[in-house]
Amino acid sequence: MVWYERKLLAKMQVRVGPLYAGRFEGILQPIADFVKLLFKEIIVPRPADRFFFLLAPTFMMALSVSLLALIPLGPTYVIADSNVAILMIIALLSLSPLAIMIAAWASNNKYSLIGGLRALHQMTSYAIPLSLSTLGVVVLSGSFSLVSVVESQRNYWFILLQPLGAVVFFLAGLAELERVPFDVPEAETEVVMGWETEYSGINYGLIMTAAYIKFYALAVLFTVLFLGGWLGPEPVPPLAWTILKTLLVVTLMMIPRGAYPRLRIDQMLRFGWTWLLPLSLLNLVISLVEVPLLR
Amino acid sequence: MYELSPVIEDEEIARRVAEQFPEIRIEISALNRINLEAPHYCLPQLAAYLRDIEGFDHVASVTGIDYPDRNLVKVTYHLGAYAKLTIRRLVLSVSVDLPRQDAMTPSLVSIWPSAEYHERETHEMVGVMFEGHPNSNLLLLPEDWIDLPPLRKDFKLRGR
Amino acid sequence: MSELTLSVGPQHPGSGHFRLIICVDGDTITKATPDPGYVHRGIEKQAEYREYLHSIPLLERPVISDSNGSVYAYVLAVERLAGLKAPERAQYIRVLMAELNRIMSHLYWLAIYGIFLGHSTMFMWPFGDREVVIDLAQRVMGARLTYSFFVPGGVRNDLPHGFKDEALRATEFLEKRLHEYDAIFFKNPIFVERTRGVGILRHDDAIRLGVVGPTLRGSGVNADARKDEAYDVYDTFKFDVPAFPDGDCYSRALVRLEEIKQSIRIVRQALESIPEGPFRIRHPSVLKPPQGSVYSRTEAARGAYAYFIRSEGGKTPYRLKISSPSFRNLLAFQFLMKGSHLADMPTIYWSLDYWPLEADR
Repeated sequence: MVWYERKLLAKMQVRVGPLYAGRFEGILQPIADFVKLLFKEIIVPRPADRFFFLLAPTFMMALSVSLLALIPLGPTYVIADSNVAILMIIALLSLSPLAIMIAAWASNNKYSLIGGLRALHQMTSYAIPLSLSTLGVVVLSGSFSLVSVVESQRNYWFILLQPLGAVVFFLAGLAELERVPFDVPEAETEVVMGWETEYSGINYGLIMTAAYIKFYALAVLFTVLFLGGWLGPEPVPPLAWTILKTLLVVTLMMIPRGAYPRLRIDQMLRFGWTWLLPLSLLNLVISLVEVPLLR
Repeated sequence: MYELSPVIEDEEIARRVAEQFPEIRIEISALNRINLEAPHYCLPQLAAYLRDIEGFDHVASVTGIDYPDRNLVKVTYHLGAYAKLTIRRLVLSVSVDLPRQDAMTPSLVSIWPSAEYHERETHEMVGVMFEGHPNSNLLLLPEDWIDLPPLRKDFKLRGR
Repeated sequence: MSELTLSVGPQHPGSGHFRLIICVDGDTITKATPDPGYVHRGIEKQAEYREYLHSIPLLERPVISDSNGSVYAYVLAVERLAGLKAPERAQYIRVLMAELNRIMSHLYWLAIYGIFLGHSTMFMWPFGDREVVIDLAQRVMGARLTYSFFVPGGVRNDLPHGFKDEALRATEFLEKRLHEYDAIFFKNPIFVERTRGVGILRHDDAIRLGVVGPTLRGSGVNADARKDEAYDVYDTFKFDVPAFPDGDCYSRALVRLEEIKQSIRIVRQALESIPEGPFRIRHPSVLKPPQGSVYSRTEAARGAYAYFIRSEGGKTPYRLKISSPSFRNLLAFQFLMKGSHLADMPTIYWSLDYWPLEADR
């Protein structure tokens, strides 16, 4: 998926992107990068808190992987189905600011701290609309379990019933992932790399992998919640439907990276609180109204 | 206001300045170039006159030239005008001759704020004191510069 | 939070070495002091030791992205001092090359603005399109960025065969791209958010501070040395000087975009009406202008470039003074950054198009 993003971005920018690693258009490039990271020395800065510094990337990996485990890719392809899957996902997503703060604080670096604080602001502000937008889906399907959410989309995909919710989820998701145009914590001209500054080698590899897994997880979640998951006409197997729809969502999420500059932090926070929050509440109200209508 | 041809307008300006300040030498050296040579004590009034009456609203550059054989330093202000359209083409130069050893002249920053960095550079490069300048720290030279002002002729480049 | 003094630079992600000392109170900048001088090379002093012709490569180095803009004023000054006049064909070629350089410089500016704002596409596209113009320059002058092409008395060589068609094709390509830039960059809601209303320089302040170039024209003053004091054959071309009244970063960006369009217009007119003839007049290779002084100015991409040369009749100038646009815009730093957000600092900094090499000489 990393390779897909780099190629997509390159095409948008009239470039070619990775070309040499692996026979086909540099498809082995991300693997090459990862292997390179494995070979690098693990540097823990001396003033840093060693235990928490090394804990944070592992914590993030654990979060992302757990997220993935909860999301069903097909009627029987789910690692851990749960009746309260949505609640657990919201809980897990709310833990990510904690992981970032651990990384930022343990780095013992002024710039990491500033970056970490900004990430904290961003993620907590956007976690609320994110969670609220899922509640609309819960109301419509009557259950917190993701399998039943997909099943209740047999008649209509929820994106048609809940366009507001879908949009809010999409935007809040981009903010949770610290992607452009919401990448204030990551790449400012003063804060070097933000809270990721002190991380090198495999630690950085773990953080990056965790971020991409979370990206993928949120994309699949979007598909499951709003695009009907694995539902689709018979000849194509359900798993393939999930993958196709997720690919579409992933592409949509990658395009802003090439198309938009970065938002300033106060503009971003203002956007979250003045627009996304009320819209998600409105969405909730609409879905409450829709339930008796659909009966 | 009728349109004057540039040559006539230049001469008009020169005539008016000569009336106001009889001790100034005026020369129209080329098209769109008027040069004034003034003693340093009448610089502030001349500057105020040029800004308010004639309409020269900014300083384009300040040049300092060292003449060791004549024992003087010549500081020239090159003035320009943005607001008054008919004199946008004009560059008026005001020169003062100052003694080499003790080159002091009143700073014109209070009249033209745009002169600030130019005067500062001339101060460090040619060694001219501008009285009343808000900030005389070295601008382009390193903070620990203790040698002669570089654009003086006694400062020789090594190897030349 | 108490006041914090930050030092931005001298190594920083922008262009060139320049330090800005900022006092921050929370998120607001209370004072910004520019600290130039990291790349001061004493060019004015060195020019006193070189013959007039030999200074040309030296003088085009300060502004490599727009090297013709700086040398043009020098060459005009020496010509006036020595009483030379370049043939008409040479004047047309000079105008052509100067305008191509203006386009190159503005595209570079746009690209780096993308880096400052975090927009990687805005960095990639202009750099790619700039290659088209650089190729044209290479065809004529042999080098990509610094050419030593303008000389007192004309230019060093003539245009190659087939240049006109290539150049016309390049201008068509650029025009199409400019439409796309307008749609994707200038109408981009986030770009507008970040630059509208940021770093406002009012009309009278711009005049009072003596700023030049797009910084001045973005505040509504349409002064341009090409119109105010037309040099070479600029008075025969029809072109506009864009000026926008708002005075914020967005206006300054728009001014530069419009200037590229106007440059394309001039290039087309020049290619149509360039006359045949010699491209350089013969003169002694060691110029010894008579005693006198001259002040010449041209409009480079960043603003008005001016030279003051004093000659005492020798082979080398007695005094060469360079007045570069970036130096004249230094005051704007102090003035504009006061009271703005810390995150606006890169936006304002680059909208002034400060080039440290040029300011320090």
